[in-house]
Amino acid sequence: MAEFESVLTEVTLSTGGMGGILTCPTRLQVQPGQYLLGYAPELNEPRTTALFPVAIQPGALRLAAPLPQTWAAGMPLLVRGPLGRGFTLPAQARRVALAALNGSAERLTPLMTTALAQGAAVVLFSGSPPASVSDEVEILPLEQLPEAPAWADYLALELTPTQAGNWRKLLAIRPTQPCPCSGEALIITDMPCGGLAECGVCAVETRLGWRLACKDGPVFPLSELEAR
Amino acid sequence: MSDNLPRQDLYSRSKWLISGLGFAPQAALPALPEPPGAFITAPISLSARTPAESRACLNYPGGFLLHTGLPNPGLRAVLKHYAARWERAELPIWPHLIPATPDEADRMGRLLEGRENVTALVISPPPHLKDREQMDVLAAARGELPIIAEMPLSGISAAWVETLAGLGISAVLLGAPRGCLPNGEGKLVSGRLYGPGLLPQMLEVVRAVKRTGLPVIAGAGAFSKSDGLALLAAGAWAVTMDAALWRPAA
Repeated sequence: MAEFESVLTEVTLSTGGMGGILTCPTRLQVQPGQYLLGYAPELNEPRTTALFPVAIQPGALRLAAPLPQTWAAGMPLLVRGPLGRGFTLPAQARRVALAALNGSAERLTPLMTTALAQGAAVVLFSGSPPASVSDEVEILPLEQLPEAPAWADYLALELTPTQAGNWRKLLAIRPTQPCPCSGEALIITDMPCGGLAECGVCAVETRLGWRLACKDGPVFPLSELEAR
Repeated sequence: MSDNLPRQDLYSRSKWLISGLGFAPQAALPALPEPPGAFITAPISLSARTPAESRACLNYPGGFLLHTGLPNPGLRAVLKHYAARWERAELPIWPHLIPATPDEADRMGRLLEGRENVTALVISPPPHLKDREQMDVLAAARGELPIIAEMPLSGISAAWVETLAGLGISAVLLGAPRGCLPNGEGKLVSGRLYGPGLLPQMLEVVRAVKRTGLPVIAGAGAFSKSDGLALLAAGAWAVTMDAALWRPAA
């Protein structure tokens, strides 16, 4: 499992709180939806923080908010990752819909970039879209999210574990009705051990039983998430 | 339950133990001040346990509270998936058992006796039971393997530990204490506490418990080499690093 020393070179403010830019190995590759764990040794923090990249450049990672408020520009960090299972965007997807129900959708930005790069039309359903969203992305209010399954051939959601069991309701799809498009959900939850301890705090109920977001996710196919 | 039973000696080649890293050692062990003496598994119940409904990980100055419900697949499933890795492990395995009754403790102990590379059992009696009932659970687990009684740091007394010694218990493990914190909705969440902020409390209890003569393992509050050395100097027989090992150590 890769670990590296890093520096938080810059902090940024967005609607979701404090983000930042982190140094990283030049060859580091993080799939959209994957995460890293960061820890500030000079603060002797008791636990790590899950870090989701917004953009990756050689030697630098732009991180989604929120970061711990105790972190400051210039602070050395220890980082482990990338960790977990990310999004699997079908290569043939040409109409991609994304929705973040609890934040600014910054964590979905790498997926937007990948979708645009393969020539897909991208729609983001968000109440507070991030400022860095490309002009090529159409932004619609969350109230129109139930229209997404009929238009999209791939759908990506950012949900809490509680919302995960209700994704059909959010999309206005009846329990007996198949979802007309393929889809995945990034589950936003605490992942303090990063899969090392199997502590279970990030457990997600799926059709295959309980799974851990830190290890089996944090991205799960919508078809696996239990609609209760 | 008979008292004043002989105690089986507990052996570890090192004062540093691993816990909080799942059900079996990974190929690459974490760097400790010296090679670890044993691997204590994540808590295992007889039957599978599902996660708590109100799971939470809440920060507070000096530590964090973890409420999970101790989900695990149950002892038989753990053995099915991990027994081979336990046998191949470079260090002895100490399964951490959370039986609900004396009968469960007896059955779990029997399932583990004779297992290759399992050299002791860590038993956590149910925290809601009275002292005497907890003793019954611990007594029921006795067999061929040394028994280590795990108790939350917040719920232990020297008198309780003295009683353990008479039961033939080999050591006591002082585990994460319990506490409460308000969650984002203002509701109090109860759970186990982890973090370097527990060190002063752990040092105090180690000092008190070591007077009983029973080996004491410090199972919380050690988040650095100096923390661990302080606990050993205070009289701990061994130290586990626990949640400190979740942090990157590059």
